[in-house]
Amino acid sequence: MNNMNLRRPNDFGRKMNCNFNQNGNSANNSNCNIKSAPAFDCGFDTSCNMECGSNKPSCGCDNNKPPCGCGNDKPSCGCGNNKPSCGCGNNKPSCGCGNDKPPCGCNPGCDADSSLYNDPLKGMALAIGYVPWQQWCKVYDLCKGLQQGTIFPPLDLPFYGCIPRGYCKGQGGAQ
Amino acid sequence: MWNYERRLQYPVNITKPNAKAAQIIISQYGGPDGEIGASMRYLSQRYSMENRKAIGTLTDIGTEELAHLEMVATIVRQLTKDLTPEEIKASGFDKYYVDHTLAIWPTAAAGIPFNACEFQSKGDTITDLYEDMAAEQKARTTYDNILRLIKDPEIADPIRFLRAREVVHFQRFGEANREDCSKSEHAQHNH
Amino acid sequence: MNQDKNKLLLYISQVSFGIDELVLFLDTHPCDQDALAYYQELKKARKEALDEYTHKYGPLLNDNVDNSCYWEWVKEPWPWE
Repeated sequence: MNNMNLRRPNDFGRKMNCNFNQNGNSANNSNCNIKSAPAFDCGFDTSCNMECGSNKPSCGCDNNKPPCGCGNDKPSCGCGNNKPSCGCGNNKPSCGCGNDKPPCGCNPGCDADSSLYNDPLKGMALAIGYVPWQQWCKVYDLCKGLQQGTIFPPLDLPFYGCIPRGYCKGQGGAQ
Repeated sequence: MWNYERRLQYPVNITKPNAKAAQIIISQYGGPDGEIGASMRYLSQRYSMENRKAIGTLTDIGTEELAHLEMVATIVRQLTKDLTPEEIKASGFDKYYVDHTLAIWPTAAAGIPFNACEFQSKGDTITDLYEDMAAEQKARTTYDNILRLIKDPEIADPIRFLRAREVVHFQRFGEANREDCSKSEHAQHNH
Repeated sequence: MNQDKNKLLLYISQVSFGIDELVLFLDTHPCDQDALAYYQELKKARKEALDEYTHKYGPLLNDNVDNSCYWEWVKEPWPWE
């Protein structure tokens, strides 16, 4: 389903702009501006200057840097040796550029409490939409059921007259 | 096979004519997200569905949408049947009146007649169920828009009921979709 | 008389709506015992109410028309009138 095979930057079909030194060697410190994304999509801007190395991990980061990707135990692409991982959150420093901060391109609006980090659907198959199963519950009496348009209280979700990008005007229609 | 029961699913009792309201509400009769489209969509899709529970859901909701169609027609009929010629001219309803008098004919509020391009019956169980979930949301939004535009309680009350049904239908199609995704080998391969 | 007729028709609508909701729920929860039990209850209540209405006020279904002198199905107002 998800093809997670690591691929060399060449395979992305994106333009790689490598400036080799005069000997034609791509030495350890030659300047490869690899604009391609890392082996898998980190979900944030990882364009950064990475150095080439003979046994570099997927992102083209330095030899001793793990592959790109946010996560509690992975630093991000282009980070220095002792920079923490990209991504804001309770136990991560705030995003921003600079020597002692995670690399530019982090989204300061990242919220550690967002469903991305605390996903109740974690482990479910990707590329499928899920509606939770409704459980049987105490139903409305017959009169109220017809009046509300459903006998199930959890499905009783009335319209409150809100206009998109406007303000709520209170309840719309008759109740 | 269908039977008809001589009552509305929810009562409609409108006492005052209102041509402007009728021109808006007729979109739920023949508009792109209205009840005819919903009914024809579900009743058409069920023949190629691979899951019996999904077929049950489509048949029963498709049938209920016919009942909703009847309600919307009743609302429009009650709003227009006592209109005077002056009211018809002043409200812009004359454009509909010239071709249909005070009959009910499936058209959208903006004038596009109902047609089968308003729905899809794609023949893939998962695709069709997502189409149905989207259809219920579109219908719900249309009812939201009607409730934003019309505040008369006699009209808003049955509209509010119809909107509530769309929310429940969305849940049912979502459940049918989960059923299918977890059990159908065909679906698993296609994902 | 009319009040009783309207009240009974409203009751039929309420019971029938309960059944409509249960039918949709059972289509996706076919093994739910609570729903199945409530459905049986409402099915019985609806049948009794329908029989009473048909007997007193006329048919709601065209396979249950009583009067043999006149086709009552076309006599009463239709729901939108």
